[in-house]
Amino acid sequence: MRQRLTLETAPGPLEHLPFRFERWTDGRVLVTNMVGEHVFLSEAEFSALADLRIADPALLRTLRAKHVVRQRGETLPVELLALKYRTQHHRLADFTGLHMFVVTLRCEHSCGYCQVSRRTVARTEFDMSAETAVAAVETAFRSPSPHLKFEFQGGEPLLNMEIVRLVTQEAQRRNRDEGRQLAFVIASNLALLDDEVLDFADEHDVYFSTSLDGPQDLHNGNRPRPGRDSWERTIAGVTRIRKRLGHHRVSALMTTTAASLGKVRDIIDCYLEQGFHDIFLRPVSPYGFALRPRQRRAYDMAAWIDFYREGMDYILELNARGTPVVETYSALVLKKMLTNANPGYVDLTSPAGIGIAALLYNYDGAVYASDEGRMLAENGDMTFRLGDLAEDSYDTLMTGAALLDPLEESYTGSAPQCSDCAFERWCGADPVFHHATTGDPVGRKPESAFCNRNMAVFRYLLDRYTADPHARELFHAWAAR
Amino acid sequence: MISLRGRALSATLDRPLTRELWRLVSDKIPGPDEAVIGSGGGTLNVVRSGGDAGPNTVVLPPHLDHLDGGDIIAVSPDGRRIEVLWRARSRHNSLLLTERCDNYCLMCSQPPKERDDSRLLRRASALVRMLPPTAHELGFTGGEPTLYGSGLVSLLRTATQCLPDTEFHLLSNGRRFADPGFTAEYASVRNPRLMVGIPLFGAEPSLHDYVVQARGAFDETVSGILALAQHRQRIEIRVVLQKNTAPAIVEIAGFIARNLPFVEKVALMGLEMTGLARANLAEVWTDPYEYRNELAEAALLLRHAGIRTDIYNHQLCVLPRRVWPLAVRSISDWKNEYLSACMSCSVQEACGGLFASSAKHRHSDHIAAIPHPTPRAREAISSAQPQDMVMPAPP
Amino acid sequence: MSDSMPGRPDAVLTLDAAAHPADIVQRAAYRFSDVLTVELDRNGDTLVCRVYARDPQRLGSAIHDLRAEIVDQVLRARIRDETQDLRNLVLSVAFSRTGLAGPAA
Repeated sequence: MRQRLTLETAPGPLEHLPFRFERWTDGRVLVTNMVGEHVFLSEAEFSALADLRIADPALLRTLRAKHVVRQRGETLPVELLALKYRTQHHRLADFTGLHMFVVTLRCEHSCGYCQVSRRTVARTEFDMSAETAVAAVETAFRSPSPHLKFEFQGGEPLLNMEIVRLVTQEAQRRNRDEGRQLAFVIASNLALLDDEVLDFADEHDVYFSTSLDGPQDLHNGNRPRPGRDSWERTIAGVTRIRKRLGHHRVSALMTTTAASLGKVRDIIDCYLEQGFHDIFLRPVSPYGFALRPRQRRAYDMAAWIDFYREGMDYILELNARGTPVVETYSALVLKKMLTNANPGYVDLTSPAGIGIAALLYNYDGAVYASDEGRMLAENGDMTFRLGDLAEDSYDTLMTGAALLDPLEESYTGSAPQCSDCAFERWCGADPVFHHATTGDPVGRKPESAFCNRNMAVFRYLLDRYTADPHARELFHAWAAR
Repeated sequence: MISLRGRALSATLDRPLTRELWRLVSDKIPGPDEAVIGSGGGTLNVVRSGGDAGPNTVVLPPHLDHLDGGDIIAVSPDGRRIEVLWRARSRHNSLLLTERCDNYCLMCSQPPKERDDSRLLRRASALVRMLPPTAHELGFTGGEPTLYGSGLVSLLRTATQCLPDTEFHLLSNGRRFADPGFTAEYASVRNPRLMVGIPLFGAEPSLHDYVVQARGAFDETVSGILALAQHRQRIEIRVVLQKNTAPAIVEIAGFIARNLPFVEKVALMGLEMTGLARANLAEVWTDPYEYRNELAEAALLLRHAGIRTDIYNHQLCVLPRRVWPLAVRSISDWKNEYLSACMSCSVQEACGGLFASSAKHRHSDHIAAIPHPTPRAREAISSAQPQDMVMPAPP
Repeated sequence: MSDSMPGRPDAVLTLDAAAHPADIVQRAAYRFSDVLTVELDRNGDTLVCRVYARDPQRLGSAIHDLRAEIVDQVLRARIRDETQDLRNLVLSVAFSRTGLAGPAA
């Protein structure tokens, strides 16, 4: 007769694998392992984990499965953790995929939340020159990334289509030998969209990204232009793009202003009415909090957090009723929480996404590590100016102190508080933001709107994930996007 | 139910047979490895029950009367014992390579026997050479085929050479693949139509080792899966839902999604009530109705991780509707049955029914006709892309 | 820490210095730096932690939270120390060329 093996949970002595924890107000404790897998424990279970006196076999199985504890000497948990860690950091190898071109600072809108000094439409000295454009394409192709995304910004890029065309054609010409995957996006308010632009977009597979803040009155209040018809023009532009190029060729981005607070359901409804099923509940650029705190449009991060929660409640309700809607930022966070993939989104990358994920070429040839770095420079702070296309090569841009110092300092593995934070694997460092608000790239986390916002998002998503099976299933679907 | 072995009603042989495997032919002049079915005239003749026992003839028992041209049988030297190895009309042919195994799963449908049966490997090698190149699919099962080591690899190499268009499915407990030398040898067969199916019964060692009744099995199995992935081999993970594994199914799915997302496929399987499953009924039986929600959650979690996930051996009436599209009519044509309750069911066509053994011994108490014709669940099944892991280079 | 220290602290915690290294208490205080600041003094076997509230009205709950956080920080430090070698092992396997075939635990 065979000797029957009994269900022994752990025949040998246990030891902790690296883990972090955060307490919830209801007494539960969130535990995350070295690669950001999570489990919620009761206070008693957490004490058992801390003291390694785990009597409950189901709890021990979970903690071993989630790589929070191992039996002493076991190698498989180390191997699996290493594999996951390695996979999560793999994207760093794909340096600099996103290249932003500020083709002009001119704009016919005068939005209060715009961080870029707008200029009158006639003054062409704020346009990018052909020489600068070609040098920028050259630099972009020096990046080793197999995918290059060219994003045209402004001002209003449609006011300098000549350079948009030049960059696109130059990039495609160069790519005939290189064979990388190219993508082109015009970030535009679409007010000036015409058939010529559409012909061009059709011919070169160009996508559009537009601003839509919500219902007509809200949007037009936020985004003044002569004639007060920004919303009508945007919607007309969206309709034309879809009709000519297909539904998927245009996406929309909203900015939460003080006027948006309390209207999140109307904003989401507006997106759905306009056929957008992706919505990014985006706070106003953090510089709105940081640099112009007394502005009329300013609001506090707590107000945005309420806005986000209400919006997410509504989005989950819509999905449960069969209307698919995705909140883009949450989806990115969930990808980091629930998979080993690294979406490479600038705000959620550690080391910080600046430079590594993106480079920005300003109209005047200056190169910045991010859009926000350029905005700081507009206010006279040159910290994140990496160099100039006329003088610097890709290599000198990418190895200068302006990029490397904040990168190293902001690395969340070593920043104060971040290094203890149970959410750290899902979060990112934002050195530009923290430099702007506190004068140092790390920032004091308890006072940081960046930190407050991400913590609130993480907590909200985890609460819904654990409490609601429908949300859990939906979140896995979002994480897979 | 179709039987695959039996004793001949009679055998009239001049002398003992010197070859074991015979392909049945009905309408052509038999070659040296072919037997004529239905009439005389060959070296060996096979007639259905009720036929005449002429010279050099075996008469089939009635339950093997389904045999026909193209099928391949093994016949004992005295002609008395007949075993069907290949059914030309079936898409689910598999070969038992050994009954030996280093696991002893609580619910094993093919309880291991410790004795030298390497003749089964030699027979498989001979069979592979007799199969038509049009053979669609061939499974290799055990026992644990990898116990043969290089012997198994030789068989796979022969199979690859003889049958370049056939899909091969090897069923293994995966432990042997923890040996990098063996895995490298296996990978050197370089057959893109070869997939290995490996059972996993826990997300950590204690549960898996208990279910397979072998300490250290989990570590070897998972290490083996990783080694196979390093060599870019095609892997299927099989999870049998039973009393011990069902409560952990979401955890197991989460473990696979997070640690082994490179696997090509996951099969979530209902218990087959044969072999040790019947002997250990109290330890392994659980009503699928009790775990249906967890099963659905696990299946969808895997789908969202970009892994093709199929649910086998579960009746639609015990599955939440949103996972109906994942349920496969998997039970082999000769194993499935329906209950009387199924006769008025509107989705019987789409349902796999029950294993005959389940119908007879134990099945869900919640088998019930689904009264009105309903469209299949409309929920879009995730189109998530497979996620890869950044595997180190093979050693 | 930062901000100008007024003369009288709003609260004083006396801690066993052996069980509560200054670094631990500072890490704990850092989490509440929006509510309070601390000043630490080693006095023989004790560590004196003077607490200054930014907002005296929130002091009561903040002191309670700070105490609980100090306990958690002691645990965090213990886990950190205890798992340091394993953490480094995982990282070395993660970034080694051979990965799994590399060092064993």
